[in-house]
Amino acid sequence: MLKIVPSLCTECQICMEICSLAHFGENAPKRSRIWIEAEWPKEPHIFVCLACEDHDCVQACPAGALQWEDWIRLDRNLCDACGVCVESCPVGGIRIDPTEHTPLICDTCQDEFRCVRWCPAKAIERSG
Amino acid sequence: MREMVSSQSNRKERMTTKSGQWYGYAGTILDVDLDREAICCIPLDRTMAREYMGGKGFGARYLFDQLPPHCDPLSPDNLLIFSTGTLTGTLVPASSRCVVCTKSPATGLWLDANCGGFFGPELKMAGFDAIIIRGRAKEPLILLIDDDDVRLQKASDIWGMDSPATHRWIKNHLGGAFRVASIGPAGERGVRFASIISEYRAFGRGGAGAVMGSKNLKAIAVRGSKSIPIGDPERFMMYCREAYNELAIHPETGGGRQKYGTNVILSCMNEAGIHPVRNFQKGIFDGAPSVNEENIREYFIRNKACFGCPIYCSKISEVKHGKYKGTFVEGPEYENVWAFGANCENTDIGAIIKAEYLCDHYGLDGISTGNVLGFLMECVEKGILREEDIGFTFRFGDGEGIIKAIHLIGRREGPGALWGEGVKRIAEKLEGAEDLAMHVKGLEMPAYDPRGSTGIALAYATSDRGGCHLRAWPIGAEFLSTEERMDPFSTEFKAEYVKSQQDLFTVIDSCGLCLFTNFALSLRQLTQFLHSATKMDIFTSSQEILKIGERINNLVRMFNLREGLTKEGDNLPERFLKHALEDGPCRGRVVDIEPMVREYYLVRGWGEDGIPTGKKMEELNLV
Repeated sequence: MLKIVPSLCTECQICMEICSLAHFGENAPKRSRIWIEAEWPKEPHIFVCLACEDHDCVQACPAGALQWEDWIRLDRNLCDACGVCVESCPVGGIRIDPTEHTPLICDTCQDEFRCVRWCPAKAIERSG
Repeated sequence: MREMVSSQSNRKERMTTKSGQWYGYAGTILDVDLDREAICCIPLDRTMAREYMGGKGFGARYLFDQLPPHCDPLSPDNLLIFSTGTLTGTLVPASSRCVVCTKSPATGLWLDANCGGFFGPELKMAGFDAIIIRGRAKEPLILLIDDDDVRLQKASDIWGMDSPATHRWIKNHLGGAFRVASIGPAGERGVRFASIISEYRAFGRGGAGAVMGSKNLKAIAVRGSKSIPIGDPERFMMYCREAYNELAIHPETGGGRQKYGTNVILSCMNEAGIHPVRNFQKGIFDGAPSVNEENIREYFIRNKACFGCPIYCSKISEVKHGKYKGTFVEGPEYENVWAFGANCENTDIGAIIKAEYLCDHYGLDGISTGNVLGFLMECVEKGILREEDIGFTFRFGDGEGIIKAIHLIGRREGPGALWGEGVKRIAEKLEGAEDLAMHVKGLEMPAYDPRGSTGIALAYATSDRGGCHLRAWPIGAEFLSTEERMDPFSTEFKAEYVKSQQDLFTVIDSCGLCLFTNFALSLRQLTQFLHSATKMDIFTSSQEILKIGERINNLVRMFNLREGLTKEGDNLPERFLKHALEDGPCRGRVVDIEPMVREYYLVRGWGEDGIPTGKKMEELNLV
């Protein structure tokens, strides 16, 4: 669903800003479902759910709060914020919301893919 | 590790005194008294936000109100104010900026130095619009801000470390997510052009690093997990989207700077004959065929941006061959390429990159450092200084000499002890060197020869912090604009242009955006961002916003006058007034600065003595 090209990433965090603003109505990059980690001067790493085929997180969730329906969906009523999904993700694409303590997983912005549209460097693209 | 101050009590105070819901702003100012090791939080005042916006504006008001007049900039009396802009850390493009305001040890006057990167946004997300630092710590300290947990802790382990090592130490010992602003050895040793470094970007000019060093403050580490509430997110996102689209298609922001970084103007300036060479003795660089934007670009390994910036003018470069192999920098920036290139007539790009690397490590301002080097080289050329006194070969064109000299300045070793004072003070100690010192008000000059641009000449002469190209930059309108250009030799409309651009740039510096947004975005758009982000009525009118810029500039003028500036200080070095350029399009040109300054005073509503009139002060609500 998403293809990332770290070599093009400039670490500007615009993807993180638009993600948090779109989901929470506030500018909070640390609540973004996509994030960048970098160690100067090396190429940065971009972390986001890539909607992989195995759905390890769905299997791993002890509360049954995660489901696959075109993408990963989180039922917040069932989630007990245990963080097992974070551990299970093979690409490190899930993290815990520092405010609400539930997992942050890409929901594709209902197919709008805002991070893809806003990235000025084309470091993230739609695939498939 | 020692906790000096319990943060819990701060938190309580803050919750009970916070002045209602803020949008865009964090709503709190952090006040750190290093003498008493006391930290407290002050709620942001609504009138302050309305009249001074943020960033440079806040710094101006605090410094004017709280700094004891005529204090020594390196004494505990000086204040060091880090201030984010109204829009810093938001989705508005290039909203990464944080400004540091203080009394400059280079000029003895107002200083604001502005840095991109991630420090400002992180500070805002930790819940603070600004930090006011006062006094002097008894021992080296780090100011640690982890959301509401604010404390001072010992820095004796890292005193003496260079900036990247300091950053690494903090990340290893305190946590990787901290954003850091620190000084290097140059700031510790009081170099009057020491910078404050934040992750390879700098609060560069005017010696703020020396002020921080004089306070025994090695670093500020900040980690913030809060959000910045936006007043009207839907409208705000729409305005931002428009702005991103415009920046992406504009040639200055969507093309040239993405490809070449800030070096995009190198050839243009050289062809215009205003690229200073040999300490401003010439305006055309014979070495340009080997030091231009295309040659520099070969060193780039990838693009890098500040927070929220689609322009990504930053580049990471690597020297892959030769003596300086293995050197990485974020840059090299246009000003440094000039300072260590043309100004020293050096064509070794490896040495230029190494010089910028050393400036980042020692915490030195590149422009002033390059000026000092060019000045010393000219002193050698003119027989004012002997190479025996320096200890090594030091002539124009000598890349290796540049590197050796920067080490001496950064460590203040041997002759470097004097060189760290800057060109104005070195010249006072060297007989016959005064005419070679290229500075305005004590601050060394940037990479445009004013003899070929009346606009930049006036901008330099009237800049509030001395020799600076970032208070107004008429170069764009004179040489780069795709629309009708201003005549660079004519003085017509220059006073009006410089005045209004100074007011606009002060607005941009106060709302936390990068000046590069000004290429593509309008004041109307800035107004839309400000209003939809903050919901404050004052920000619905572009005229009101420009008035804030004018108010801040007039307050800074009053500050400078109080500190002893007179109209004689609004001037340029004699070289530009009496000695004509000999080559190129500006052949035979000198600057006639006095009539321009006089006209500028008139346009500003100042008296002939350069003092704002009572009427102007009243109009700006400054009485």
